[in-house]
Amino acid sequence: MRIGLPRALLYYWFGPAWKAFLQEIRLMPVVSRMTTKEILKQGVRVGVDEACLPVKVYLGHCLNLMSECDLLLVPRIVNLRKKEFICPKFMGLPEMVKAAVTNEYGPEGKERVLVWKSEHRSFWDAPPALPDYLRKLAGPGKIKTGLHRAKQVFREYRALLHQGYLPDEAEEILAGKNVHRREQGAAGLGVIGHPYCLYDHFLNMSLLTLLQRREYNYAVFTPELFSEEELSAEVADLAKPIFWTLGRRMLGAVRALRKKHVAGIIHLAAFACGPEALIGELIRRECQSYGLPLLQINLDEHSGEAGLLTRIEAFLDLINTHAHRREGIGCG
Amino acid sequence: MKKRLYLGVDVGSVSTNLVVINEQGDVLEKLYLRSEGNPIKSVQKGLAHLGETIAKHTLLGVGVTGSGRQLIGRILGADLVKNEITAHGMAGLFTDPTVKTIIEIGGQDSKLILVRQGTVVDFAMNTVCAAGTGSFLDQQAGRLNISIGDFGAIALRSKYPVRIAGRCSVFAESDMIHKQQMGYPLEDIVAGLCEALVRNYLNNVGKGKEILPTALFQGGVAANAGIKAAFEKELGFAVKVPEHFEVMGALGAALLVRESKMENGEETSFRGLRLCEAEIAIDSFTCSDCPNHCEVVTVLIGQERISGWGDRCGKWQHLAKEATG
Repeated sequence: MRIGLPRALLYYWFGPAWKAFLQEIRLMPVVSRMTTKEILKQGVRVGVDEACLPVKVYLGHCLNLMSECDLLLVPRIVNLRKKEFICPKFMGLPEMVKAAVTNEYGPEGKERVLVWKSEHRSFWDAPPALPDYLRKLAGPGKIKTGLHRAKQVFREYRALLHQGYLPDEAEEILAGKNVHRREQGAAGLGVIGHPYCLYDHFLNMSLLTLLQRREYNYAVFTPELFSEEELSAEVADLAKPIFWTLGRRMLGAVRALRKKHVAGIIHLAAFACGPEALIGELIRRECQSYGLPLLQINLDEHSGEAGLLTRIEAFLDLINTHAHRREGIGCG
Repeated sequence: MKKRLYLGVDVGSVSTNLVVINEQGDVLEKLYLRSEGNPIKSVQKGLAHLGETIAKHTLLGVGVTGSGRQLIGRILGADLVKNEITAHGMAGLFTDPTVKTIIEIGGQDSKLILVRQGTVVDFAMNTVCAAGTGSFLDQQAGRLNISIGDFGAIALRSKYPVRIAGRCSVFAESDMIHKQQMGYPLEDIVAGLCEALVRNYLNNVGKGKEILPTALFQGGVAANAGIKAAFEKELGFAVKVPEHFEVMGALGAALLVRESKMENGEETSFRGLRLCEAEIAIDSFTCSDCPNHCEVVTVLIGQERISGWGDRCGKWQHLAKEATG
């Protein structure tokens, strides 16, 4: 039985663990390929207007996977941490997927969507969250060992991200492949955003690779480089806690990055993301108070590479001049 | 005596501008040409114009900026290809070292560059909306049946500008027609449009930015006295329009290449004036080797395939390099 896993949204957070779980219970995971223009187009076509760009990308991945798998595993993620939330669109994701596949494949399409509800308490240890169907498929006792394995892989995966590997590199390492450590430039640059904006190379037009290319040669730091504890500690003094997990991590990352003496911060946000609109403003104020150069970029399906490149180039020129100034070379 | 010159080229959506400066940074020649959808032709025309000056003296470097900078940069064999923001910042700072704010409004782009103590500290660009740009004015002038050249003078005659919804050019039209039907005089409508553009620019591009004097207003739209007046009314201080406002991007590119050549002293890689007559062809296609479907562009000068780009994998850039050795 082939189970489809769309490579979008929180796949970048949980992916390898989900894969390990399925493998452990003798089901074959089929992960969609990296986002392509075709996938994005499909997603935009079937997505409701109100959905943000990453949700549309997710739908595109689902449609793309339908012909390659028997069942589609769609998580219903309520939160990632106690007393915190992620965007409610993650809760409504299975319904959006069902609507999209019903449009394309008729009512039978909907039957092929498996919903996996998970909460911070029960990611890897609460069998009731799993669809009965899956339990029957796996056989008695299997689910428990599967979840145990998933938990293990999840920890290994997150540990690799802390070490500075990008999600696709970490996945390769977990699969037993040899990954060369990228050479990092001397100057540090922070790139923050939701994981599915940062690590979807198509959506952000390979920004991370671009910044590490020889002509720019930056060491790129993302929020995933820091542990959950580090990031929470950074924002512990806020008058009111930020209850969006991903947003809290971003603001925490700004503070942690400042201590790493990065030359500047690039904030990648997705079009029509609600929480991002609020956190973006907090990030702006934070950077302003430190005098830390900040570039905020909004990604949408109309984004041309030209506009993005112009902004990035101008921003790098700007922080270069700043760096020279600090060293007393003087420029401009 | 042979002068030592630098050429700056700004390839924009509406105009293609060329500037020749000497080693001191003085503007010796400037050209403002309409791109008319064919920037290559415009640059060839511009080069032919400047041919005499360039042939008589020594050209030390070529800098290119603007949205078409990659294409034109490769065709010209430019020494430096820079984004418009850095170029405009450079030109503004060179023109007036006390500058704190640079407002640049071009055909389809508008930018805001903040400068403090002689360096660019922040910037913003319009996103997908063109309601705060020159194209918006062009369109409205067309609807009012007046020439864009007269726009500013007409606006200045107005005593009581009408309020027009400037958020979107589509809504601006319906609002403007309504005001015409209500019987408002032309100058008040034109002045209202200027204020709408400025409001849109400040709300959109200038959102959350600290706009301080000295402010320079550059780009093609700075020719419009009505917009300048509307900015001054909204900001509450005088806005300066520099002498070379319409070619500031090209001036910036020339100044930047001058700076880099003075540092490294390398010879220019400019392909030379033969480009004026050369047959330059663009070949573009959608690569279907993978699902990315990149739009790949390659350029031919005569028989020589000089470069390819637009591909995410780098395969075509690579091929072009091989082809040219």
